Amino acid sequence: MADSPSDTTQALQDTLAGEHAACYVFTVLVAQTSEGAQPTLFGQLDDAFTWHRTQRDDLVARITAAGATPVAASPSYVLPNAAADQQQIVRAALTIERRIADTYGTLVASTSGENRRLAVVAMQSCAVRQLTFGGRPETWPGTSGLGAKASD
Amino acid sequence: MPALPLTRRTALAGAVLVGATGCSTARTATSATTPATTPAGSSSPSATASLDTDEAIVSDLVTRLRAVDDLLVRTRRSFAGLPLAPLLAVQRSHLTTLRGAVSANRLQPASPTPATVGADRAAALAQVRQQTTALQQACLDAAGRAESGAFARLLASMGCAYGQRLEVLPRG
Repeated sequence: MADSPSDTTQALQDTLAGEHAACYVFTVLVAQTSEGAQPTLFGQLDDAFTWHRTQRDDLVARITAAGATPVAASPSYVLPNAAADQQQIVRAALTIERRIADTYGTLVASTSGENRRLAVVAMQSCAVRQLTFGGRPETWPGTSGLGAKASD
Repeated sequence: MPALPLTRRTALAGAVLVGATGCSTARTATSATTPATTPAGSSSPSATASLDTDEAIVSDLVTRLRAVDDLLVRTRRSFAGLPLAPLLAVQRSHLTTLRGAVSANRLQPASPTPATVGADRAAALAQVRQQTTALQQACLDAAGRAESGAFARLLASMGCAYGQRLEVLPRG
């Protein structure tokens, strides 16, 4: 294993920054979705938001326990695309899940032990949740999108 | 996917990942003590131990991948209508990548007791699901144990790929 404490903390901070962005975007996407008119999508987005919020809080706790100050969220983030209709909302959700899966992939590579286990489990969750938002299975998910897509 | 004729003197994990995905491993856990940065012919004891650990993981997973490959081929032969081609393609891509990472004489022999194909469509799918789930878990567990960070990411990605495939696999 080869991660120094400072490298590990920085990797956790980078991941936390990603989760701050994910929480923001999913908050917007949930707000843009009608619970009454689109209950399935609303539930999926709300579940995703809850998951990312839990991850964010876990990362904050880990960074704090390591003696560092967790990186703060930005006041706002740019959405990956417009979110004016259901199709755009789903596309934005998929983009975020792909990005954060890559982020956790980097965390896997940058850590060891318990932090890596957290990253592996989280990467798996994000990869599977991509399918909820219209993603297709990939051959190498969470590797910056450079892997070949699996054929269906 | 390019073949990866690696040897113990090359950087197994980093090279596998770069070869598989073309991505840089610049910001990974690789440091002076990991195989990825150990110069050819100058392995330190710790680097050698790391490489042994990761090679053992490759060897074990290649055996598992071969077993699943064998099951998928026999299942498709018995139940031609089952949509197993995408899973087989992913699994073979992973197998090709890993098999090229170590020399053949370091690989384990094939499992002497291949999994049985289910008697009907539902049972066959259940068997495929069970074996794929076991493979997925093996990849994720190995990701936690791998010495090289880049290699761990590759293994985690493999586990994620099976997780995705299991989500879309019919339940019989």
